[in-house]
Amino acid sequence: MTDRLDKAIAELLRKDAPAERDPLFRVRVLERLERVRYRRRLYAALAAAAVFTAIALIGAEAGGSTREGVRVLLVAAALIAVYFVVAPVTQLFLRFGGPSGKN
Amino acid sequence: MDEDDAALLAAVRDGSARAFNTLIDRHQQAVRAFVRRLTRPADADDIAQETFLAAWMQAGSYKGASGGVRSWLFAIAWRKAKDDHRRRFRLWRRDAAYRDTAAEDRRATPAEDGIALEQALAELPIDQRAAIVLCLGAGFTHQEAAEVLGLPLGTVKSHVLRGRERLRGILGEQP
Repeated sequence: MTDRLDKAIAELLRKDAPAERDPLFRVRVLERLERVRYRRRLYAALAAAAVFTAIALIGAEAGGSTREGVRVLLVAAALIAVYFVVAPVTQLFLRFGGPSGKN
Repeated sequence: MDEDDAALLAAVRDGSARAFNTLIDRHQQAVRAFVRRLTRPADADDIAQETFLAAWMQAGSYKGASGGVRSWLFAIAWRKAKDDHRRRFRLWRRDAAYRDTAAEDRRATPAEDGIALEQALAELPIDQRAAIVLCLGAGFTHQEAAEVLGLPLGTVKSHVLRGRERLRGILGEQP
């Protein structure tokens, strides 16, 4: 009786199992991964922006000119933009065509 | 297979997307089947996807397990399913109360065994259900299931025994 029950349970569990290959599922996992990475990059960029803004404000309060403050902010914006453009491209290069030979 | 999995995970740790894809393709079916038995169908794939996402992020923390990478993935899935279960506890209790009243009208005939078993499984406490699904459905040993669930071996054996008895009772079978 126990065997019959065990077999019935095993059959039930196998009955409506997901497909053995499901590329759509994989795509959804990768999509989540990209979303997490993007969020991380965004937080890092926001943190960097906050730091540069604080530096500019401190510089202005210490007697620096507005023009210098604006320069610092422009440099910060440029660095953040470069980070957003270069980081994903670098990651792709390292993952799929990099010289490391990991793949 | 297991050595391959460990090598794949090492590559994932080093950032290999191809290794990650292979790992997903290799284990998605089993992980999803497991999670589907522990949570609402609508949430199962979300949890399974989160499982693989966590695997990517935690690949460096893998220290090996008696059941290998497969057990490690199932352990992540189990923790996520349990967290989800806790979050939905109130809703689940309401559903359980409904099922309890509906259960009185149910007695399985041989043709209805599949449906009755499915309902019976859903009525088991989540720990027992997980132990049953792992040991009877996914072919895990009691020891491997204990590692996946983070429970003592004796508790898992007891869960399987009690779960099986309970299923038998729900199905109206005599021991």
